Amino acid sequence: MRVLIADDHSLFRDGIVSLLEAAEFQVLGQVGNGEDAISEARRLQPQLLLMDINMPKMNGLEALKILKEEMPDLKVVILTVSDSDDDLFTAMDYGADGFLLKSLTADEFINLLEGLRRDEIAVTRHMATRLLKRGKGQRRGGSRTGMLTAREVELLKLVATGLSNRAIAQELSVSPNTVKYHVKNILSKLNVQNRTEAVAIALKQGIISNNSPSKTL
Amino acid sequence: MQANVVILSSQSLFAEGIAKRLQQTLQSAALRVIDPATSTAMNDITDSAPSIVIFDVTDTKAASFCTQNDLLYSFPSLRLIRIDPESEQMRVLTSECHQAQQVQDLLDVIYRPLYA
Repeated sequence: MRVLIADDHSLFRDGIVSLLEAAEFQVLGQVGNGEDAISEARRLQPQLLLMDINMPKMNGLEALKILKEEMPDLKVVILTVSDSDDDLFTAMDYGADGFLLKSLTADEFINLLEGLRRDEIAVTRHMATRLLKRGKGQRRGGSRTGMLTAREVELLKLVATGLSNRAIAQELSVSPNTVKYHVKNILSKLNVQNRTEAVAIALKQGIISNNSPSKTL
Repeated sequence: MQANVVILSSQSLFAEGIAKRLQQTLQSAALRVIDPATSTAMNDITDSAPSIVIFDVTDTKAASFCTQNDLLYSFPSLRLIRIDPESEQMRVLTSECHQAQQVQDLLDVIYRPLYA
């Protein structure tokens, strides 16, 4: 697996590179801030980006959001000392493929990254529990649309107008694959089977209205 | 010369990564990672008879452990390396001990090169 590392602590990066190379990951590069993470991800086309949150210029969560919209197939795993629910939930809302703490042992870390090859999410059982509890809480509260990012809501409004993925892609100046990725996430977050059900929930909860023209989005 | 190196860290990935990197260069070094949060930490350090102890100042558990002068007083010729990842610098503290009976003893230390 080809990896890019984004962390502002170069000594930490050096250590991570050693661990990854020993586990036969191919490290393509290292950067120290979110802006460089974006430009290097575009240039190097890694399969996996390991990214810290607190970095200068642009933090890891902002970079994650931008990269996931642009490169939905890129796996991004947040690697941080932050154990806060806010960071965890925001990262997952922005499409992170994992959220790992730097307090993990090297073996746990490598095992969780290996799981990405099987399309698993790289989170510990403790993190998974927190995410499940949060999901349960949101379902009880009834506002499933609250889980959607601003971009997903924007896209859902276009879906409601009856546009195809290709037409939505043109409208938003993104690739059809990006639209497909967002639609898949929307269906998953709303726990529905198709676009019609998703639109019905959004209408019911007032996220979109029947007469809202897409041009105003 | 054999260097017994202890990395004191509660952040495993940092410590294990650094250890892996050091092992590539310090083949003969006895390198050990010790979690300061464990109850046996001080005994484990003593067993290692370290000549070098490395810790990250942002790792609060390790930093609070190492701010105790016990370490410097317990091990002759110990070098305590405090890594500050924020500034990307390290500060080296030493436990070297000299007699201080005459002014000349002071002058010897004053004029001695720092890294002899």
